[in-house]
Amino acid sequence: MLKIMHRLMNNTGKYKGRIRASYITAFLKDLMMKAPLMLCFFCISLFMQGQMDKTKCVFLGAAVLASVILQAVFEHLSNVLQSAAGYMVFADMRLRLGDHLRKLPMGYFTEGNMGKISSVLATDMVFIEENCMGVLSELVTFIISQGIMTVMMFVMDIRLGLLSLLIVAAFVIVGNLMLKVSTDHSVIKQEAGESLTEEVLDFAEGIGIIKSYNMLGNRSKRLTDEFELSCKKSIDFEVAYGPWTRALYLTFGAGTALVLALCAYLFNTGRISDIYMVGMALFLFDMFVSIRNYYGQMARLTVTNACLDRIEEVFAAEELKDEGRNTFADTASTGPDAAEIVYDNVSFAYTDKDVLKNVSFEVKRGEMAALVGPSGGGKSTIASLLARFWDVKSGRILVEGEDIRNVSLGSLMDHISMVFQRVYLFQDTVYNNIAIGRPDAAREEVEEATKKARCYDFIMQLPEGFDTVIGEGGASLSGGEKQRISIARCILKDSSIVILDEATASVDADNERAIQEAISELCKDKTLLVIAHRLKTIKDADRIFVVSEDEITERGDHDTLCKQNGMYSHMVLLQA
Amino acid sequence: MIRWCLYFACRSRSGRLLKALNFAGKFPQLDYKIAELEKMMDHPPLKEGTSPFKGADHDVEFKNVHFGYEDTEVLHGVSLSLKQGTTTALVGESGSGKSTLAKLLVHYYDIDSGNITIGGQDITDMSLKALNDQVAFVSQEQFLFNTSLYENILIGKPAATKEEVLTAAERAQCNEFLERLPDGIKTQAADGGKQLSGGERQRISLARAILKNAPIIVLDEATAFMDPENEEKMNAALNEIVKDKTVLVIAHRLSTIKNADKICVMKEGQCIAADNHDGLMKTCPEYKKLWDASVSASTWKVRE
Repeated sequence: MLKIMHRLMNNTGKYKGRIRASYITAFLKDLMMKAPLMLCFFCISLFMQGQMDKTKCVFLGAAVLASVILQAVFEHLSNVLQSAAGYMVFADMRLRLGDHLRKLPMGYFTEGNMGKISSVLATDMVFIEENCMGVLSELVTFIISQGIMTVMMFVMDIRLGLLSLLIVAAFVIVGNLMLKVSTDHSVIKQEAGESLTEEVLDFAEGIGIIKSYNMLGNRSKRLTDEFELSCKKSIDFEVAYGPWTRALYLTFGAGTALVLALCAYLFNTGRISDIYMVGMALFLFDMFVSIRNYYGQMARLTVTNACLDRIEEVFAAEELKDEGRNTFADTASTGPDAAEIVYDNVSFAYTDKDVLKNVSFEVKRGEMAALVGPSGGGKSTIASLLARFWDVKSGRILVEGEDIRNVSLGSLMDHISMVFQRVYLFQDTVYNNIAIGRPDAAREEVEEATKKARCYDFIMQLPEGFDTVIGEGGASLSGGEKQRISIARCILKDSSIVILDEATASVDADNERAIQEAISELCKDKTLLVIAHRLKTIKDADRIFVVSEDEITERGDHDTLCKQNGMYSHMVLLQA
Repeated sequence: MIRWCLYFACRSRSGRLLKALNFAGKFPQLDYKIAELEKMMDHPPLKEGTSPFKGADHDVEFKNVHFGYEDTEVLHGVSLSLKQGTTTALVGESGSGKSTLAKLLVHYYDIDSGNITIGGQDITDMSLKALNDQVAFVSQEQFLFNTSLYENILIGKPAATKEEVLTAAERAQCNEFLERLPDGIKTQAADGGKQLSGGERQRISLARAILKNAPIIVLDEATAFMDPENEEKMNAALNEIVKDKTVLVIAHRLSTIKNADKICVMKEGQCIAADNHDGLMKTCPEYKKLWDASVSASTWKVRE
């Protein structure tokens, strides 16, 4: 169990010192809590010895007051040092996570990792931050004060010391068995919880299908079963765990009673004085509080391991290497005829199976290249490699003669705009959503971009024009309108390469023409890489690459390819 | 002795009070959560009858249907009849209410006034099960359950034989990608989700509807264009399942529904005209405008 505490400490980074300092203040606070008892003991022994006088009374009273005040001060200090540090540790960790996520390949986010990221941010970190950081120093204090108590008992009488040591040993055994039960069950409970969540999500998301296919009975039963299972697992946990908490308290009671009995025996046989007897009675009930509380608090920390595992797993995902420091400005001195994009023998695999094999082609500045082929053939993958959604397995991709891995991600992104079917707008004003394209753009430039993207008119009809907030709780836009706003963003960005999923233009029928005009505006004078679905739209492309079964099988312009009687000419016939 | 007892008593008393105070912070949270729960529980359930389907045929009739989401009415008295064995298309700009009207037939919502009947029987009179047996809705939604693709299709008709499921998959043009998957039709949807495109997932939904073989079909036509590469295959599949059925198509592109028996033009929550293509081209300027836009969009090129 100390391992968990150690692991937590390792995550505290630069606040480690602060937390360690809080151990001391927490210990001092604990000492101050015991001080009135100690003073009480003095007081009684003075009375019993008949040595009490007025001055001593005043001093003792003042000392009690001082210890209470000091206790408050030390408590405040440890809270400031440690709880605050706990929040700061996680503030830092969240920033680090943000930084890490920024550097992950885009592919990481599409592989169903979104749930993991949000549970780490929303559940795991919050749990540790709120439940664990605040008790770290207390736990350490418990261990230290239990040690001191035991030593004190030895000082008083060796037999009392030995007995307390035995009782502490009993605590350790019971406590660790309790924690083992709690750890084992927390895994089982967690699993039951996860499968319940999945079933609930399936039910909620699929409710339309569930109802229209009359599966309500069957599905409800599955859901009920899952709830019952989760309930059963939770009760199982309590049933298994309950006796151990009882046992812990029993040890506490029995231990206290045993010490009292031994004291009484020693007192009766004259081995210890009456003063010691009184003192013992005072301290008796505090004797094993520390260790009991230690195990009581520890139980909360058992879940921490699983939380830390998940946090560390997200941190362990491999970042995209962003070591390149070259910028395109340095290298853009190449002639007007130079190839802007070059794929040089590129292979790629998501897992083990190659999805692209030895793809080579080049696109000159200002040209339009189209990738066509059956769905699943690899044309989207080729395009996403250019934006470094993933890195190539072998071969290389050059932009302006520079390997894209040797350029910083920032300047690569400045160089490329992407227009995809799925659009994401931030919960912000229309204006800010577009200005993302180029944050330093003047207001006129933003407006100009919206005119080109055919969205100026509908923006002006929104309740507050450009300052209307979109998204949840704000104005809702149709799919086509969102699409045009995202195109305005790209127009404003004005990067020299545009990657376009042509299907974008065919999503929303009545907006179709407006989107098409916006795209044509964006594509003027750019180097274009188009993922094409309908051949008609890219008939005039300078270069057409037919991608099928992980390779480029045909290449040329429309007329050349039509003459070849290959896959392209076949597709043209089908789509005519 | 008495003083000690008092001392300990005080300690434990104040301890309990402090413990109780610890929970004080939770009360506003609890309050909020209970309020949320109550809000959800207060939501009125759908009106649902108990009768089986006893309609004379599968003609569908919308009579003066008014409907609104919360406070804003989006359909202002729509009347429309669909004859068994014919195809009716709903066209109009986005926001005109065409999708809403279609969803009302599958009883996603209760209407505010008017009525919807199948073969003369009001849909609120029949049980949801009876209604669902009559209608298949192929929506734009691409949701698959977290089981195998086979089971996802089987939902359409749980008693179906393996051959029936495979035939449905074939008719929905699924074979081409099922062959590509290592576990074929046994692939888990969760794993397959990563490997399947939106259009492919929709073809699984379509296979499910084919297997169900309901007499009334409500179809969101955008479904067919998720994968433009497979457009003609999808059209073939659709043509096959709509044979002899009462079909309602929510149309986004006009070229595909040109041959529909009846085209209903929606505008601002009303049906402003209903006729076939040729008739509407002559009499309905709104339709002509939509058609022209559609024609010009279909000749667009990324760059001339």
